Amino acid sequence: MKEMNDDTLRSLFKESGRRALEEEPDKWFTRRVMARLPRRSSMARRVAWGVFIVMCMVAVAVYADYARVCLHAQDYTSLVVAAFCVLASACGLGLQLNRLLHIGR
Amino acid sequence: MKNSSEEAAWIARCVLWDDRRAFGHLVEKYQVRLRRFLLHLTGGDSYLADDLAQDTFVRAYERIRSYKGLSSFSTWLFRIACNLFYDYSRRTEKFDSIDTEEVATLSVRPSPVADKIDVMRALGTLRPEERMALSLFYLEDMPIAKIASVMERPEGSVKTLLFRGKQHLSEYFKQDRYERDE
Repeated sequence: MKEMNDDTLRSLFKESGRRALEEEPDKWFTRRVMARLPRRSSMARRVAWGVFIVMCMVAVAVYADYARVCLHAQDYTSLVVAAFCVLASACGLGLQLNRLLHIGR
Repeated sequence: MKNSSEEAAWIARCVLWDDRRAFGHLVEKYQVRLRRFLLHLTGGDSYLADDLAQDTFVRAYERIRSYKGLSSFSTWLFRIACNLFYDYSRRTEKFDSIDTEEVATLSVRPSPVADKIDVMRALGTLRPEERMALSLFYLEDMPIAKIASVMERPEGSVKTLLFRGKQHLSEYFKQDRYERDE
């Protein structure tokens, strides 16, 4: 009766492992794992949000001040133009935010 | 050397930038080893092994910020896998119901060595801890100290598990007339 030594057992385990799975990683398995990964807030996203909020606050403050001056001078055309400019800059900021949010994706 | 620095860069990108692509590289690097290991732990149940492997990677991703780099990434990953397997075993009690003393009287006999020994089925008759210790030692070639770190047990306990597991495997293979045919 032959005893099962470490080398015999090791070769049995290795052979069993080789037969069970190929050496190459399974792309479907990787995709399934990636699909299950939770979304979470990263530093990049936090920074993006921070910059976005600050820029919005600055834009609102500048517009409010300009609006106050325009109302005082009763220059409604400038007020509407300024509102349009603020809207355009908000769209630009939104696009920038969207790009920042996709860092690392 | 390049591999380890590359791996450290992937981990750093996951921690700092939540970089899923970097984590994808880690999944590709470790999936074969992890799935083989879990396949042996589950006694050859490939669906269960793949589910547990997926859970392991998802949990690793969720907790990657708690990885301090005190042990290698693979040790940390295998520790998560072992914990998930423990949880699964406890939850289902599927494996606790198998008495190791019943090995000698199993009605389902393994195929003879000529048809290749079914290591996974043999492992399925052992206790989960013994399976883990044997798989890490023989399949992963881990030293006892590393196995102790993965299983979060003292080294003496790991040696005992290896000794008992080996005994039970030998008994199982004897049943299979392995020694005679060899």
